[in-house]
Amino acid sequence: MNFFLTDLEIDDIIKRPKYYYSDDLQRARWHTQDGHKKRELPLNSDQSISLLKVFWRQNQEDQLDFTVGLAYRFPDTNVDVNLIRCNGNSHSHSNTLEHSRLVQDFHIHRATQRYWEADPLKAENYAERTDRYNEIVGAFRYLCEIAHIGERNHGVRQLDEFKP
Amino acid sequence: MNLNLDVLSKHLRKSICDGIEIISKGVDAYQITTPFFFDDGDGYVIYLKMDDSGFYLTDNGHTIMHLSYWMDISQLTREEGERAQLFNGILKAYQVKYFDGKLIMKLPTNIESIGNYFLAYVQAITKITDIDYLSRERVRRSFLDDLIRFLKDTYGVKARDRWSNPEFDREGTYAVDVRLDLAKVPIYVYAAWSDVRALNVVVSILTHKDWKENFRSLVIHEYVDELSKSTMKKIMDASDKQISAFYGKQQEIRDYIENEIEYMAGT
Repeated sequence: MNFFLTDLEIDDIIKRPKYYYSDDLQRARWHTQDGHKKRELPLNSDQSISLLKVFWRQNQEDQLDFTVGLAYRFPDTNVDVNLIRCNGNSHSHSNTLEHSRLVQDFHIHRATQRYWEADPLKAENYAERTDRYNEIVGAFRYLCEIAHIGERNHGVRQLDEFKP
Repeated sequence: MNLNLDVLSKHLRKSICDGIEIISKGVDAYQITTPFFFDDGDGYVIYLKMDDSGFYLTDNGHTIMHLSYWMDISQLTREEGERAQLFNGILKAYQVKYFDGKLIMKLPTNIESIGNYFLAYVQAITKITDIDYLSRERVRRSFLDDLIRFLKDTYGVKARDRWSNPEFDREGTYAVDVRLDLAKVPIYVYAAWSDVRALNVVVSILTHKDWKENFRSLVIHEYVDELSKSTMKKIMDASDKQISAFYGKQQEIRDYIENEIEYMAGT
């Protein structure tokens, strides 16, 4: 299987309307492991059955060291790729192909075709600085905004499930 | 130990490279920024801190958290296995301690040697972040060779590697990775480490069946979780037995082969 996405495919997945259930968000408990906390939230889409999730990581030593990301799973595999990551400002960042550097800014990673072609391990290398959040809760809110992720309550799920 | 930041900065720049800066981050804590980056372009996080026993370097737990974006880090820190062995080997080689997600290196009191320690610490982070990539590539490259060696060591001349049907396949297009002649019915052993490789194994098994050969087939996987569902179905239908991994499961492989020999002797 060819684990590769073009910019168009990446855009399509990011712009596709997605949602999570309020119950799932409440059930997405934090787990502590090796100095950081983590949790995951499954996403749904009316337009496709692709597997998407939001994932969080929060360093317990440094509140500004975090990421909130959107991960996509290739169909029929266990192979995930991170399409977006909203990072804290605990570290600098270098865009290898553009030879540009961000110095300890909050920044947003995004998978791109050009980095994927350069090295599949560096697909999400490209990042831009942002001032749209300054902590992990705001980062999740902003990820929902740019990745078209909405919230639905439990009642809607019950109605959907019993549709003919 | 008194720390003169200017002297230390100059020393690190001179002994390692330009682009190193030391920024004060509270009481007895300094962040050392470097031009060293992970695969995704994020910079290494390195702090110089002090406790009762002196100065030490720590990554504040960032390296392991960063790795967790792509891999299950319990494979490094909790489980037995190749990745955990590599991780512990790196910690030992570079004299880095692991505690609750943090990579910690104690520093000497003389400032002249800090450069060497700092360099070793950076190298340790680099090696640790390479573990996932290196171990996968190493396993993929050596899996088939290791399997052949294991079967030849165990069964001697009765294990024939890259065997092909002399009547129908002189070029070895559908070769069996290892043919074991241990009973009246041979066992054809295959190694599968990717989707493409698994499909080739399916084709080989079905071709040998088509040639009316009497054999039992055993497929040994590495990275079975990367197979697509459709490939998994095909290989399940085509093969008589599959074992999910080679490394760490040699005894299970031996036991299965012994049981097959006993079964075939009894039939």
